[in-house]
Amino acid sequence: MSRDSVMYKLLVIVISILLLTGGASAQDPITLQFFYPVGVAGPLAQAIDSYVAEFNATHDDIQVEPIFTGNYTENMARAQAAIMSGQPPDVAILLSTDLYTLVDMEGVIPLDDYINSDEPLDIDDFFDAFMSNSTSAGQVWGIPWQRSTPILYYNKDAFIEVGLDPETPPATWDELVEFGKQLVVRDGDKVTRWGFEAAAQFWTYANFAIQAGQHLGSLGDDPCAVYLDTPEAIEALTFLRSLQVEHEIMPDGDLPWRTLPADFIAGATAMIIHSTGSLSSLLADVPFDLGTGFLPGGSAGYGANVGGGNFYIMADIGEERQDAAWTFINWMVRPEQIGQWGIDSGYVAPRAAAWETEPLKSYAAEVPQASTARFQLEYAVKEFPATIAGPEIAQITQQAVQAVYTGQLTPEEALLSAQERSNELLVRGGCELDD
Amino acid sequence: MKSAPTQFDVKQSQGEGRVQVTRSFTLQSAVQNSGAVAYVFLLPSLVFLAVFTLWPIVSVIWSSFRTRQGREQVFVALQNYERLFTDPIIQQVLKNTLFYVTAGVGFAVIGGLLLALLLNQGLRNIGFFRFPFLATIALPMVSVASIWLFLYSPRVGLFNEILAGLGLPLSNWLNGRELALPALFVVYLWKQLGYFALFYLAALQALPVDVLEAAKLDGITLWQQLRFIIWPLVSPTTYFVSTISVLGALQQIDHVFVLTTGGPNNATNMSLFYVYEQGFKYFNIGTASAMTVILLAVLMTMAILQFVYLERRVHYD
Repeated sequence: MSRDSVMYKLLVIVISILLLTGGASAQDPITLQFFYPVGVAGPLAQAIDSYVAEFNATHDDIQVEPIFTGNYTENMARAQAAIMSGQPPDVAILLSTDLYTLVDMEGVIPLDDYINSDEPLDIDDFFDAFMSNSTSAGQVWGIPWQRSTPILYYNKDAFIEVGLDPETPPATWDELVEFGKQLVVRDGDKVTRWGFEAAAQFWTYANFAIQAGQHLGSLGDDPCAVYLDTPEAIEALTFLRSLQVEHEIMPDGDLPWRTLPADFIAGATAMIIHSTGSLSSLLADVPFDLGTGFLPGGSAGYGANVGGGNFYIMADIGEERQDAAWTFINWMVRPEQIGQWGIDSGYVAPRAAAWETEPLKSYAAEVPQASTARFQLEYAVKEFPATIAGPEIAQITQQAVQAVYTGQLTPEEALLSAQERSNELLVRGGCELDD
Repeated sequence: MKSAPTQFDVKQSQGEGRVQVTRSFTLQSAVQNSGAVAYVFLLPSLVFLAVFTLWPIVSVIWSSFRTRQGREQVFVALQNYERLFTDPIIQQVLKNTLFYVTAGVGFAVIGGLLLALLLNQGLRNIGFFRFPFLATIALPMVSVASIWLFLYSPRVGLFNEILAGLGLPLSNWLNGRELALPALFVVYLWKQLGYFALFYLAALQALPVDVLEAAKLDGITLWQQLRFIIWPLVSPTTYFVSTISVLGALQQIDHVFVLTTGGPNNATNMSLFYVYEQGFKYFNIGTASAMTVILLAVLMTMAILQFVYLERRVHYD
């Protein structure tokens, strides 16, 4: 083949083209796998998919592939299985209380270096109560995203009907009982409207314990702390039981979390405690004027715990992908973006700046109920159970509450046995408990 | 050696007048005899069986001797089994499962047969009556359970409305300890009874008419007809229905999710739901595997017992 031959020139052209495209393919966008769950009612998956589509449209070098993975439990199971098989997703929304499990598996990375990088995030702008479940050993591991706290929902029409001020929800346990008794409607022996419903559920009970002066877990960073058997914890459950049997403002028997909104919408109860995440669907569905208030305070004043999911970046995916994941998270939690998410979902926008930025600023002025949860955050603390074997301890606590609601055990019996079972799990998980 | 071997030699056995067929050796018949062709045809099923049944069994036994530590699965011998039997809720779970299995078989066989007898009447437009009982088979369990959730709701549900209308005390249904499991079982039975009746209906329609007619001429009572003619003649169906109803009862999980999630305080927690909770909610893969192995052992024992004992007493005509 001579240098001037046509074949030679062709060959040079072909090779150059190959090299050029080869060079271009090195700059192919990074594709990130993003696992996310949906924990409350409403078309939230569409909202997330639309945010991701907007991110992808505005970023040439990073493409995010959103993967809906079911509820929180299924999502966490899939993430754990993926981590153990060595093929984790790149970025995931998982429960804030899963932090210790994820760190224990070495499945996630701390984010402090990113927070202070040249793509910084003002982490102090995020509300303290939400950050308490996002930090461990002095490091930030999760960025709050779909965060909630329970609030009191009440039927203003019912308040007016019985002569109560519709703008003044009960502020204390005593007022809760007093208002509740006024709101109960009887038809012979049958109660046609109850005064109040609080679910037989660990997350609901944990609030009453805080109001009585006992956080059920550690307020700090101790994954081995569970306090179910203290006098205050017992007092809180005794109070809940008294609403059923002594004051008769709450129906006897198990009260599953998911049935409360239906009872409330149907007018079968005048007040409920539920997640702020239910606000959007309740606003759309109740046929009466919807009131919201802080959870009534106990002997230790107002109190609530938080809940919901954080963004995590996975370990073992390489620095380049972790950098890209951070760019994505940082884009998602921009004040205007996370404010829009708050409107779409009902979750509390977890950073102060979002509330001062459009579109949430106007929305909050228009829908005052949306701000109740935000202002209650001042009294809110870390979510229980942020412990070793957290999901199992949550379930054990829930079973104790159910046993009391159904009259099977006294609060003391139920909680002492729950404490004992929790201790076994903590010890099995490597905790050293002193007797 | 024959110059032209035929595949079959037909010999006349003089003494008894029977035809004996013997095969002489050829490659083709060797392949047929060894069953290789059969295995080739079975191969696709064998692959599926191996990948989706046999391998999971091996893998679940392997996992049942291990526990998760950080990311690793470490060997712990029989610790998972020990834990299983010291778990305070396991007795409740086993009791609930046993209730479902025994009540399930009883209602499937007796209820299924009675329903089939009713649906087998020579009424005009019998299809009209058959349809609603058999339609429940086609419904997805999750939708069925969601509808029953509303019926059972203690404050806005139909059942309590009816009780209130009759002036009777209201019940907590799924939210009380006593009725939760029976209430759950009613949903399962409502959905599945038509399925079991369908098998009996088919069996009844295949009964020899002359036997029944002869018995009628002899002046047999309805009870005697059921006890001494129908019951023995449908026994292959009874065998089949009792087997699938045991398997069905052990596999119930979807309506537990929708109606009670195992509560209140484990009153409706059953074996498969327990496995799900241990495995996917608490990520105790070891404990979940140990429970699965036990379930598997129970099922296999039952299958063997049923084959050995029941089949002997089953009447095939």
